[in-house]
Formats: sequence, structure tokens, C-alpha cells
Amino acid sequence: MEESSLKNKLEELRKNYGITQEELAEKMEVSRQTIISIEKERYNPSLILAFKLAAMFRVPVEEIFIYEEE
Amino acid sequence: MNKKSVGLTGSILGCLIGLLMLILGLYMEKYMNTPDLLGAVIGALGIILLQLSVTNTSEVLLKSKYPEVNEKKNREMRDERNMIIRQKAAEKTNYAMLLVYSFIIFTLLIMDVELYIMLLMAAAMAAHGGLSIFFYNYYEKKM
Repeated sequence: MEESSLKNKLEELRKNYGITQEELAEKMEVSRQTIISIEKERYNPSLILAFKLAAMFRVPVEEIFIYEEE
Repeated sequence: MNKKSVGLTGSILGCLIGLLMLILGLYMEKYMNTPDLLGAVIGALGIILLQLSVTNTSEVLLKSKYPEVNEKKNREMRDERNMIIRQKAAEKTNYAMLLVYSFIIFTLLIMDVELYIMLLMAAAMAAHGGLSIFFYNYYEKKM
């Protein structure tokens, strides 16, 4: 997928929360590969998925996803 | 009748029709004086229908037996990343097919084939282009 300037702390948050990629994928109704790609910053999620992730970890979206200007 | 029953009935019906077409095709090829390849074509269509129906039947049965597998498959289908990948693949295929059409038309031109075949290919290419424009406009208005 395309290079992005969007960094994220998803892996860190997920590990703190104590759930696996598969479990998170199930909760978010996406594939495990999508979670892996987001964590590796190869794929930028849709706004809906970003908000769903933020709601699940009970943090603001900008705390998970950090936009960095080139 | 629920969705599963309808799917299963349709698949079994497809199997039977496919099998009948296959037998008819073989019978025509062996015992009847039918035009060239007619029996073979009917038989081949029968095999295709039979294969698709058998696949569909097994899918319907597996879905009911292993709901978790079905759920995972549905999730994979609805997954946003997979949808983007499919869209990108379709876009690349679209461009590639325009090149393929052009190449085929050019080859047919060199081979000096009959005009109606050329026109058929040109019509297919025009339909491809027309559909691309139509769907582009459709989604441009929708989004």
C-alpha cells in the first residue's frame, strides 16, 4: 500500500490492552491482515475504523494516529 | 423457504441440469447427426454448469456446518483494506484490458479477418470505454 506520513501507536495500545491482533480484528470487524498493515504503517485506515479504534481504546483519535507533515 | 433452502435447491437443480446437458451432449455427439460441435458445446456447457453447481452446493452446506468459517469469510469480504485492494486490482485490469483489446484488434487487422469480427471487437472495446465513463460519472455524483 502507499507510503504515508501517518504514524500510529496501535501496536503499543493493543499490547497495553492485552489483546491479540486476531481479537482486535474481530472486534473491529476487519481482517487480521488489516490490523497488521495498520500497525506496520503500510495502510491508513478509514475514518470510521480510526474512530472505532479510538472508541475501543477510549482515547482520542489523535492519540492513536499522528499526522506528520512531510 | 429460507435463504439456505433456496440456495441449496437452486444448486441441486443446477447439478441436475448440468448432468442432463452433459449426457445430452455426449448422446448427440455419438448417436445423432447434429451440426459440427453442437453436442460438444452442449456437453461443455453442461460440465461448466455442473462444476459451478457442485461448488455452490458444497459452499452452502459448509456455510451451515461451520458458521465461524462463514463469518470469517464474510469479514474478509467486507474488510476495507481488501475492498481497496480489489478496487485497485480492478482499475489496473481495466487499463490492461484496453491494451489487450487494442492488441487483438491490431492483430486481427494484420491477419485481414472479416469485417464483422473487427467490428465486434471494436464494439467490445467501445462498450468497455463506455461503461468506464458511465460508472465514473455515477460514482462522481454519488460521492
